[in-house]
Amino acid sequence: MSTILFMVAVALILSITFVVSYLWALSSGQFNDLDTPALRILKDDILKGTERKNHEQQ
Amino acid sequence: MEVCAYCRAPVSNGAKFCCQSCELLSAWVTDGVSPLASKKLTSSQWDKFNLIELESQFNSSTCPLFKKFRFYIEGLQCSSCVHLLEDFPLYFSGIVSSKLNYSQRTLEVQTKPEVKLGDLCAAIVSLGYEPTPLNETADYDKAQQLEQRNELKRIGVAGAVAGNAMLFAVPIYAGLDGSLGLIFKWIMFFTFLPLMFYSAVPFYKKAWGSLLIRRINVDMMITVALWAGFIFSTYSLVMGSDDIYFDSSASFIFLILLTRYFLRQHQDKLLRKNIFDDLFVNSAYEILDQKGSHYTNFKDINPNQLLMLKRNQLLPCDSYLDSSSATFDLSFLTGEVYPQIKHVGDAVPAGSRLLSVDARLYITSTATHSNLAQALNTIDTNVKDKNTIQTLSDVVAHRLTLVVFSLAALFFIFTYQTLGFEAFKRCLALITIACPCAVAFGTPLAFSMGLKKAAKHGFFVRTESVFEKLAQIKKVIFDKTGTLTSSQFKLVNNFPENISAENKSIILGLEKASLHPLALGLKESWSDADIADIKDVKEEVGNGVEAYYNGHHYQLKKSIEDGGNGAIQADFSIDGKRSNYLFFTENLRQEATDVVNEFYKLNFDVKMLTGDKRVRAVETAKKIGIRPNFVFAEQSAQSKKQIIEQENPCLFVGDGLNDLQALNQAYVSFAIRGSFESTLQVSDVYAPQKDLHALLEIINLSKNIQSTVKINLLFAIFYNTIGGLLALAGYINPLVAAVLMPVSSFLITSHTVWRLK
Repeated sequence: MSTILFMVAVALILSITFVVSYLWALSSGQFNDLDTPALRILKDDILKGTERKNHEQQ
Repeated sequence: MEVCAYCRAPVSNGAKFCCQSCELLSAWVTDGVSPLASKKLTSSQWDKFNLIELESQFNSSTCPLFKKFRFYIEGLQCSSCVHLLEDFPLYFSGIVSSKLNYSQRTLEVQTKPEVKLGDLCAAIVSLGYEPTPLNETADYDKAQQLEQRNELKRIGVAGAVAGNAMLFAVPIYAGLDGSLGLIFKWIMFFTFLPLMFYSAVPFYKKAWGSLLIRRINVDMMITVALWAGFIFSTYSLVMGSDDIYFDSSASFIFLILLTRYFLRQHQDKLLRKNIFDDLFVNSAYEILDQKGSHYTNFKDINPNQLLMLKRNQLLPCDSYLDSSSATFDLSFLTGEVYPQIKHVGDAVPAGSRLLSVDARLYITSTATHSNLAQALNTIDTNVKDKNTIQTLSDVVAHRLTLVVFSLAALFFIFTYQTLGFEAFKRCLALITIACPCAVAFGTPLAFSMGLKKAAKHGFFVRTESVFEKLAQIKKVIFDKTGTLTSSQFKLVNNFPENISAENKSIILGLEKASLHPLALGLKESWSDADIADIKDVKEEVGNGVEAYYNGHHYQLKKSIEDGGNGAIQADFSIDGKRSNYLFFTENLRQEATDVVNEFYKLNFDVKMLTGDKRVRAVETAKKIGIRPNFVFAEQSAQSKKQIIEQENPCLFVGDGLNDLQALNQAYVSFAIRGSFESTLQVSDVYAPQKDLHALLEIINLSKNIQSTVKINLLFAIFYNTIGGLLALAGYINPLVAAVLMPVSSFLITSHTVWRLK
């Protein structure tokens, strides 16, 4: 009985944590743009090219 | 398969890169060539945006230390576009930050004060994109974002509540009893409270709103069912009985919130934009003063100033013509496509477009006090009224609520003596069960899928009620100019039949700079002919053009003779002797006749509305197959609006340029072209990339949606009647309710998805 009650309490705390973190993520604007960040991560290091060119010139 | 050398996206026709941004980035990454190196960074098209008066309309920064602009970007292709545009600060000096929103296609750029908007636009263009500076009010955007977030919060909370309620309900259904059962029930009660007092608040607000105007809508039904369920369950909890409906109520509310959110997502966000600003915000106006002249934006033009209007510019204020004669296109105001001649001292209203050479105008009103602004303001207020129509689901909800409540009351009165308190319990169960979920979420689901489908096929549909209204009407009214015909003229005939190449080139040389519809038609018909380099063409306003060239005097004039069959005749003469006659008619849209016939097959009345002369209008109507007594000719913008008012309910098809008022008045309006934001605001359906066949497409789609909604409603009424009877007979307990409700939701969802996928 007490084990079940303990589990229930844990489940409730967990679900409240998830709801609160969802609300926080939403308020801080993390769901504003769902497409661009996924594309942003694919970026090449632009400076590499510029550095290489500078290096060649030297 | 061939792939792009930079981003590895598939490419066609053996191209090395999939888009220009990949090519630029590749050069930058491998060779260190800056994307803007060797690009032209100024352009005459964007120069005017460098003007501080014009630029300030788009700068949303309140701090003087930097400027902030937002653009709508066309031409985004792949991830490289994100990198190229967001690395702006690395290769364009003066840019502080650049942020792209790929899904909304908007770019937000912060710059130092020395960077000018026009140069920024030119740079974006040279990268291969088409920017449109946005001048939205920041407040409106923020408010909308906040609203959307709140909605998502409510959905999140409702989802969590529904999930937890289910979790604790299952053991109880499985027979859990005793003190642990009681604890579980109390947990359900407490977790239910956030849904009751937070997530469901929008329903209460809408229910209260409709109560104030004495109308019963779906939200009231939901509110009543929710509260009946809550009170009933709480009462049972306190009294120690098993009738607890927290789980079914929670999942029900969660589903409704979710479908409504999707519906709103598909509706357009650009609705509350200012039409008037949209027309003039991109132009710089030249004001004459003692020192010569200066440029300003339309809001800073004041009465008693002299404005130098440029060819093809739209006039933002009411005025008098101060220079000698000029030709204006008043189609925006009157719908009349033929150019109007104004003489010195004539009034020229705001909204006129100058067709002849630059003209000087004496301003009599500010832009915001012009007649045009007043007319557009009435549109703004009318838009709000238009949204409040009573939909089929509201009607059904209304009747169902009445039936359910009377039934519950009658049942209670007649059975109270025999059943005692059990009668009250059964009544509450009836109210909880009988709330038809088809009305509550089947209908928004069908509409949101319909909107999605419409958007996929190139329609912008303003509100979902269009589908319902379109399925009701049996009358269609076409605007003629720009809708059934294109606003250009077509050269249909000439006499003598063969015009020498030399004469052709001289005629084109005469018309080179003209924006007259006849001139445009000529240029299109003879697009492959040479154009003679004729200088000093004299334009006699509204009559024609003449010039001396190679020792001869050439003239192209509108003939005093009528071309016959509604055609317009123009005469070409050399040294005063007429040598060629040219005949023009309006260019009919190819598909017009076909579409009108299809409407006859659907048993529609087809009518036509135009600002043109009756003879010409009837001539066009005959060609398309519209009966002459169904032609309303010689109408102004105002009288068009009145006719539409009389003919309602009807479908009005027009173009957004000159039919704004009529479009706004119609029961359902369909615009085939026009400036995006203003047209969208007054028309129900807007399909800028489509021809008239789009009308039939959207009517078919509406019929399909409407029949889906009706079947859903019928099913719900049937299902809920059975559920209600069972409740009254005392067979409904929480377990049965927990099974009945999801099953009906599932059936309705799958039916809707299957029909509209």
